[in-house]
Amino acid sequence: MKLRKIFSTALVISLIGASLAACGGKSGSGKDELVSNYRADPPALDVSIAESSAAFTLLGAISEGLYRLDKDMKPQPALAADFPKVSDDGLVYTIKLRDGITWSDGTPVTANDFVYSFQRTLDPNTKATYAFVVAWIKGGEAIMSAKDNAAIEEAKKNLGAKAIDEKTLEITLDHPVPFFTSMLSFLTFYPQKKDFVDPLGDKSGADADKVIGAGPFKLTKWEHDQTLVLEKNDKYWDKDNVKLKKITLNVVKDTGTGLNLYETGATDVAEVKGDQMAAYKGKPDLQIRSELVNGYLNFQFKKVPAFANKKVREAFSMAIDRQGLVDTALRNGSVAATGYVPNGNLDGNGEEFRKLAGDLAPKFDPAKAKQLLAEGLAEAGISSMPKLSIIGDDNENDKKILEFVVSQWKENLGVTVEASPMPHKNRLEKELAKEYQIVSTRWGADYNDPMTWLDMYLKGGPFNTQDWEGPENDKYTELVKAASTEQDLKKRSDMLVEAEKILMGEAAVTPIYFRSTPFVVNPKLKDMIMPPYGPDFEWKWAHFE
Amino acid sequence: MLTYTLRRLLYMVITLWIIVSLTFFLMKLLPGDPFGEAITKLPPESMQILIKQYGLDRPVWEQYLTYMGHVLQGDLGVSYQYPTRSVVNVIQTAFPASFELGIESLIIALIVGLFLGIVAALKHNKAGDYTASIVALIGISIPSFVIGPLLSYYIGVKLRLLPAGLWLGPEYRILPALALSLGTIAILTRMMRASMLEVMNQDFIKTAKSKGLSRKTIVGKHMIRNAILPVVTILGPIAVNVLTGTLVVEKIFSVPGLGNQFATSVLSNDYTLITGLTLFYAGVLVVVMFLTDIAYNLIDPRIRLGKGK
Repeated sequence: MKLRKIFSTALVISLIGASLAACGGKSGSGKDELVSNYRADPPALDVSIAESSAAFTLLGAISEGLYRLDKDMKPQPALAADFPKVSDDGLVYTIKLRDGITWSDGTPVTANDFVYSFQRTLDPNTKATYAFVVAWIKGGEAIMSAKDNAAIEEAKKNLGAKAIDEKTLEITLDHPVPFFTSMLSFLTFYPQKKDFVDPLGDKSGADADKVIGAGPFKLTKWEHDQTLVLEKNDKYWDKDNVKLKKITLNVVKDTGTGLNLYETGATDVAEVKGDQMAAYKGKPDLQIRSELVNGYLNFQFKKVPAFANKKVREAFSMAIDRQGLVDTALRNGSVAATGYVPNGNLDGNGEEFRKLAGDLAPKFDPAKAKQLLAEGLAEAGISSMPKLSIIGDDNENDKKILEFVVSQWKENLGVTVEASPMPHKNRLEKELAKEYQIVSTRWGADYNDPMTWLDMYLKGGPFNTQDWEGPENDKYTELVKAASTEQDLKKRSDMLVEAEKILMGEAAVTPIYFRSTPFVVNPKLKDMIMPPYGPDFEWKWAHFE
Repeated sequence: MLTYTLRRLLYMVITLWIIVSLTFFLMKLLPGDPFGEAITKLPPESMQILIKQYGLDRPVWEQYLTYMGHVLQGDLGVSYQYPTRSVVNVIQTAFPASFELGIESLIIALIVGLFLGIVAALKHNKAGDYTASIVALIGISIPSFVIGPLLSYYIGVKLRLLPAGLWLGPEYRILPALALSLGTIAILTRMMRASMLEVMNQDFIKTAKSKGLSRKTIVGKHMIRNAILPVVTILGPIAVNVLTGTLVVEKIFSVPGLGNQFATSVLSNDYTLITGLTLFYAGVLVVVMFLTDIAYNLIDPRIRLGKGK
């Protein structure tokens, strides 16, 4: 009994004490400290193996490339002193490094740090997911496909990336890449410090003391799955333009909790979901991040012979009210798809692709859809649609999409389709193995160029899982391949617009929405950029009013 | 006692071995592979190296033997999701938060649950009994994914008494511990009440009363001491449950614990992390059950370990 008394007294005292502490010391955001929710713990903060937007976001704050994208997604010289000197054939880029650039430990950043970084990423032993973009450099493919370590080292010597001197980097490409300057701002082209990374081996990027950068902030604390703290890097060349002294990221996986924290002032930034967004409509807190991500459907041509008929596919596409989907089901700021390449994606020639290609999605028209279905089935010599099913991810948004399209097809075409949501991994595996009749899926841009979208449906390509073939696909494949080596950027852009018109005209793929993610952000926080692809946030210029 | 302990230890090892083996083989039946999105972008050469590194190119029985060999040396492998972190490291980082939260919720549950159970039994069929029963009913029927957000919103956001989430100072522990303890409170209240009522009708209580012992002595020394035995038995499994992390409460209050890790490891086919966590969970369970038995012996001398069999 005595023990119990002591116990309960102790508990009561600690409860009271703790609640008093909670009332007294609420830590809000100061003038130069940002506190933000973050939805995941980044897997590894290593330039070569980073593949998630969490890693892109953090490394973008800790380090930097030759260029950094501004709020208009235009590259601005960062570690480079100026824009590159490009040879007439568009293959050789000569770049002068900025004077006085250093790593956060004060040692200088040299051209060799870039060469080392590219070689390490391409080395198959590094297992870098994004090696394929670095392989645009001449000789890159040879490193990636080298059979043993001796061959890898030999191939590295022939890579088209050379340090002419400490301050000059020369990159020779395998084929012209019109958006390469912008690409040099992408994480995979960041420099890496050899004598820091090499000794760490597989542990590179595992903890706060195993990451080094040359960017506006340094990582000073990383408690896995809990908190990451970034502090201003005083050795950064542009430190005068960095206003935030500290950024604290708390890992919060539940958006409901995230919003509660935002409401109590415990965070300046929180992600919200569709149904939570309504409460913030019209308030200055609400900010919508439009992403270079589309949601689309694929109809498997061989599993369901009816889908090999263009009119049947058109009917299924036309029977979906895309505006209704984004307004009533998703409600998160996403917009109805008007083509395959999303709004905001550039054309490789400085213009927005969507504006050039126009609205290519079929208009919602149930009557015409029904008629097309009947005609299509007659053409294909099929009396009625077989029993159909659609697979998709089992998260909240994707389930809403499945429910929506299934009810639209039932209502507008009289066709019954069974929805079968499943974990993301299973869906992806089934999709890539072509084991589906209809799949609801997504794609996000790897880089800001139409090629990241349009090279997916080349004849026999791994993402042409619907098995789109035939003369129209031949024409499409030829156009996209020709565009990939075309040096006249205007002509290249026209070719890609033409290719998308074939893709959409054939209803070979059925895009339904361009994704957005809503956030609530402290209205006093200014100039925090939410880029449409790659990182979630760009904090370099962020500051409080 | 010594032979008993040794035999129990042997059983523990066998149990763990069976559990790890089962998990290992069941996991191989999971659809998909552990490499995630990378598979769509990674060059084939790197993919080969990756498969080789994790030993996935070898027959399953060989993978199994290698894995068991490593486990015996305390190496649970490298997580697939976090390629720079070992499974042991993931557990070391995540377990303390789960453990602390579990202990706190268990203390609350023991104090409140036993108290309510005793009150209910002593005030059988009176207001005290009904109140305790209603609390128990609420605790059983409201799941933590309802009570958690309610606590976070009303106490955290509306009243601003305590933080709505996160795991920073001591004040951040209260709401998640409360949310987690509610179910346990309910179980303990019901068990303690039933057990007390049973004891109260025993002959020795009547004897104690007729001997003229004070009510305090009867309740404290005779009733509670005897009634608490069945409750101690279930305390073992309950403790393991709350100590090893709970997905829901951890997610709602952003507690960086093991429950979260378990869920994500299964969703992303993180083979090594799944087996590692299962082994860890099973290990804790087996050890706690063992300790429960010892505790049982200490409380009730009638149970003589290792004798009478």
